[in-house]
Amino acid sequence: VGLVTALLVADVVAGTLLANPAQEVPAPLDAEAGLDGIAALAGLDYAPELFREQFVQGEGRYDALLGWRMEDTAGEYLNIVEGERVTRTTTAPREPRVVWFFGGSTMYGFGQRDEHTIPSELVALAEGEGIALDAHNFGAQAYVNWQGVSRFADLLTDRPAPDLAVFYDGYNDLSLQFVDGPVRQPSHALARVHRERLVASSATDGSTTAGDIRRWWADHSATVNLWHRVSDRFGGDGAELRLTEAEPSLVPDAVDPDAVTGAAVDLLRRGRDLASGVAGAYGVEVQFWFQPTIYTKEPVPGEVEVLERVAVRTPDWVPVTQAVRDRLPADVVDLADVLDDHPDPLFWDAVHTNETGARLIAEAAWPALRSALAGQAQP
Amino acid sequence: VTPEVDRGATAVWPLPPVDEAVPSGPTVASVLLRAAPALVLALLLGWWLEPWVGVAIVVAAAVLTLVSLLSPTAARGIDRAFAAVSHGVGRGLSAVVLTVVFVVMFVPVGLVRRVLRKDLLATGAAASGTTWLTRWGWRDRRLPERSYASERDLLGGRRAGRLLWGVGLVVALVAVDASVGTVLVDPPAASTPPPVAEGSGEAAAIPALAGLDYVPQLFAEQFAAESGQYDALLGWRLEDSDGEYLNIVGEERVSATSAAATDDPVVVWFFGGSAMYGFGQRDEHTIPSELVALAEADGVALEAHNFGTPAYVNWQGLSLFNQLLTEREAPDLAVFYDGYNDLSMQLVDGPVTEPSHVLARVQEQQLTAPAATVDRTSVQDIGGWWADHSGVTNLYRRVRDRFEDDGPEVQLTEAEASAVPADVDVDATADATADLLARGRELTAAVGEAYGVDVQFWFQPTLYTKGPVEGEGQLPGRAANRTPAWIPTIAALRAGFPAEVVDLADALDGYPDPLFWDTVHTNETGARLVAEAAWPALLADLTEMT
Repeated sequence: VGLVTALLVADVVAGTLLANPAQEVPAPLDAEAGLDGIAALAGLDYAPELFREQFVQGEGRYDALLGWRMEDTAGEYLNIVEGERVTRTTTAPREPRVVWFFGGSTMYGFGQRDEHTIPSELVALAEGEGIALDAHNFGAQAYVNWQGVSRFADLLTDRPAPDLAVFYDGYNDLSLQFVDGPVRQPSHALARVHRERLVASSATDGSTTAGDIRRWWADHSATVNLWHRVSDRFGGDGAELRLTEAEPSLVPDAVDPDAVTGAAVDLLRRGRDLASGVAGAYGVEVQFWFQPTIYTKEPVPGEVEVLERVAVRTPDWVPVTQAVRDRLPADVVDLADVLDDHPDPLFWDAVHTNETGARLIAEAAWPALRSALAGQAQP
Repeated sequence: VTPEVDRGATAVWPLPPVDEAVPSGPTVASVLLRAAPALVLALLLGWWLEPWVGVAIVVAAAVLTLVSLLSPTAARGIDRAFAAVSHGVGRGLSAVVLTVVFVVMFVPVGLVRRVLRKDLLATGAAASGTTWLTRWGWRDRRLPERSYASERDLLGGRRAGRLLWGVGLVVALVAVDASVGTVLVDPPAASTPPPVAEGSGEAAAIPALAGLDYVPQLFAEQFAAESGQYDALLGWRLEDSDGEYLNIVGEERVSATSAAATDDPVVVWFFGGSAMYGFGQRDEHTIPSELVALAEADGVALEAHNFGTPAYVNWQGLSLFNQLLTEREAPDLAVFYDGYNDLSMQLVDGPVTEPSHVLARVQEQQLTAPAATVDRTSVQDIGGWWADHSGVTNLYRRVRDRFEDDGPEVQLTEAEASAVPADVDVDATADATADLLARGRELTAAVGEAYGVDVQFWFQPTLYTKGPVEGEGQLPGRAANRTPAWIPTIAALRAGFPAEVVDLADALDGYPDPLFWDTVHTNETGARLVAEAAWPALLADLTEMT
C-alpha cells in the first residue's frame, strides 16, 4: 500500500510540475484571416475592426428573464448606449416619430457599422422624404421573437411609449426549432446550453464523487498525460477537445419539418398576439417583418461557400422557411425576397448581410413603415 | 555515575540503539494498543447507538489509560481484568466464528477437493522432492562485515521500508476510516422526519403544524415537486406531479372544484409565489380552493386555476400570465398575490431595478463561471470528499452538534445565497420594490385590458406584518433571509400603495394561535383566513362583471 501510494504521489507531483505550458487564448476571431475569404466583406477596410468590436461585445450580459441583453460598449464602429445600438440621428426638421426596433443580430446590425444598420438606413430614407425618424435599435444577438416582445413589454413600463414598434424575426426562431425543436413554449436559442450548465453546476455543488477524484488524478497524472500525448501522436483525430457551445447548434438528423414548422408558426403567432395586445393598450402601432436569409435568396457566386460554414446546417431550411412564409398572416410584412436578384454577394453567413444588404432591406421595408407612420396622427 | 564512552571503541563498535534498552514502564505502543480497541468500539457504538455512548467509552478509556500510566500496579490489575475478559470473550467468539468458518468454508472446500481429487495446498512452488519453500530474499542477504557491530541497516532498504510502511499505514487507516464512514451511513431517509424549508426546523416541531397527521406526507410531496422544471424565460415553472395531497396537472396546482350548479362559472387565474401555490396546504385547502368554497357558499360558481409557483416574484407571474393568454382561453379575472418574494429578492440582491427573480444571482454565477472551474476537481474537493466519508469526522460532527445549539451543519446550498447583507438600505430597497411592483401592475393591467381580463393585485401577509404569537417567535431567527430591515421596508412599501392594491397584510392579525410555519407560509387555517379576507374584494369585482 505504501509503495503504491508513494508511486501515485510521485506521479501526481510529476504530472503537476510537468504540466503543459500555458496556452495563449486565441482571439475571439482572427478577423484578418477569417474575413478575407468572404466575398460579401471583401475590400471593406473597416471590417476587421468592426468584427473585433462585435466579438468583444459578445452576447451581452445575463438577464434572468430574457436570457441576456445587450451591454453598453463604446467602439469606433459599434456603440451601445443604455442597452440600444446607437443609430443615425435624423436631421429632418420636424418633430421626430419614435420607432422601436426589435429582433436578433440582423436588426442589431451584425456586420454593419452604427450608421449603416437597418434602423440607421431607415432614418436616412425617412430623412430623404422629409420625415424625422427617431429610431431606437433594441435588436439583440440571437434573440427570438418572444424575447423581443418581452423586452418591448419591459421597456413600455420603463420609458415613454414610442409611436411604432417593429419586430424583425424569422431566422433565430427557425434555428431554435431546428436545433432543439419542436419547441412549443417561449424559449431562446441558448435554452438547452443554459439548462445543461445549471444542472451540471447543481450536480457539482454537491459532494465530490469518486469519479471526480479519478478525473482529478487523471488531470494531474504524469503517466496519463504521457499516455495522452503518445495516443495523440498515433491517433488520427488530433487532440481531444472538450464540448463547446458551438456543438449544441448542430441540427439532429431526424428533424420533423412539419412539427418544426407548426411550432415556429405557433410561437410567432403567439408573440405577435401578445405584442399587439400590449401595444394596443399603450397606444403603440406594431409591425412584424419576416426577414430574408440565404435560404430565401438564391445564393450568387461568393455566397455558396457561406452555406458550408454555417453551424445550423440542414437541408430543411428552404422548405421549412417556405412553409412558415406560406402561413404568415396578411399583417406580416414578408421581406424574405427583397434581396433576390441582387448580383453581388450580400450574405457573409446564412443570415447576416453586409451594409449593402441592410440598405436593401431598409429600402424594401420603408414603404410599409412609412404607411404605418402616415396612418398615425402627426404630433 | 555517568559511564565513560571510549571514543575509539565507538568508532568501531557503535553504541547500541537506544530502543534496545529494556523499557522500565508502560511504553507508548502498549498505551496505544490499549486505547485503540476502545476508540474503535466508541466509534461504532457512538455511530450505531448514540453519540453519548461513544463519548462515555472514550472517557472511560482515557481514565483507565491515565491510571495505567500513573500506577504500574493499577495497570497490571487493569491488564489482568481486561485479559480475563478478553480471554473469555475471545474463546467464545473463536468458537462461534471458527464454527461458522468451518461450516461455511472448510466443509465445502473439502467436499470440492474430494470430488476433484485435487490438493488445494499444493502450490507447485516447492523444489522437487521437498515441500519446504525457500525464504524470500534470503539469497540476496549479505553476511555481516564486522563482528560484534550493529548492522541493523544491512538490508539497505529498511529505512525506505519504514517510510513505506508508515505511508502505507496512514493510507490504510484513512481507507479504513473512509470505508467505515461510507458503510455506516445515516439511517435510511424513510425513517427521517419530512424535509422542510431551509431553516424552519422539523415540521412536526413547529407549533403551526403540530398534530397535523398529513404534514409528513404533504411535505415529502412538496419537496419532491418544489424545484419544478427549467424554463428559459421564466427561470422555472411547475412540473406535473401526482400525490396524495399535492397534485399539479397541466402545470397548475389542483384546486377545489365548485359544486355550485352552473354551466358558466367565473374563471379566475391566480398567480403568485409559494404562498399562493399553497406550500404547507393540501390541494383542497390552498387559498384558491378556500375561495372556491367561500364563493360556493355565496352561490357563486368559481373555477379557480392556481398558477402560483414557488419563489416567483410578481414579474414572473406576469410573464406566465402573458404566455398563458396566448395559449389558452382568457379568464374572467386574474389575481396576483405578491410581496414577500419581491422584497426578499431586493433585500438579498438589491436594489434590483430591472425585472428579475430570486435565483438570478445564483444562476448568473453558474452560467458565467468558466467551464474549467466547473469540471476541475480541486484539492479542497478531495478534502471535502474525505470529510464527508470519514468515520472519525462524522462522529466528531455528531458529538459537536450535540454540544451546539444550532442544527447539524449543512453543506453550502443555494439557501446561503439568501443571506441578506448587513448594510441594507431600507429606502432604496423599498423604492426598488415599489417601482418593480408598479411596473408589473401597469403592464398586467395593460395586458388584461388587451385581452378583456380584469386584474387584481393582493399584497400578502407575512410574519413580519402580523407579529408572532406564542409558537411563532422562533421563526424569524431561522429564516435564511433574516434581517431587521424586513419590518421597516414592508411598512414603507405599504405606505405607498395605490388604491387598486388589495392590502391583505393585516388579514391574520389578532389570531391567537400560531399560523405561520416559517416567515411567510401558513398552515391551512392561515390560508382560509387569507381567503376570507380577500373574498369581499374578489366578490365585488365578480359582481361588477356580472
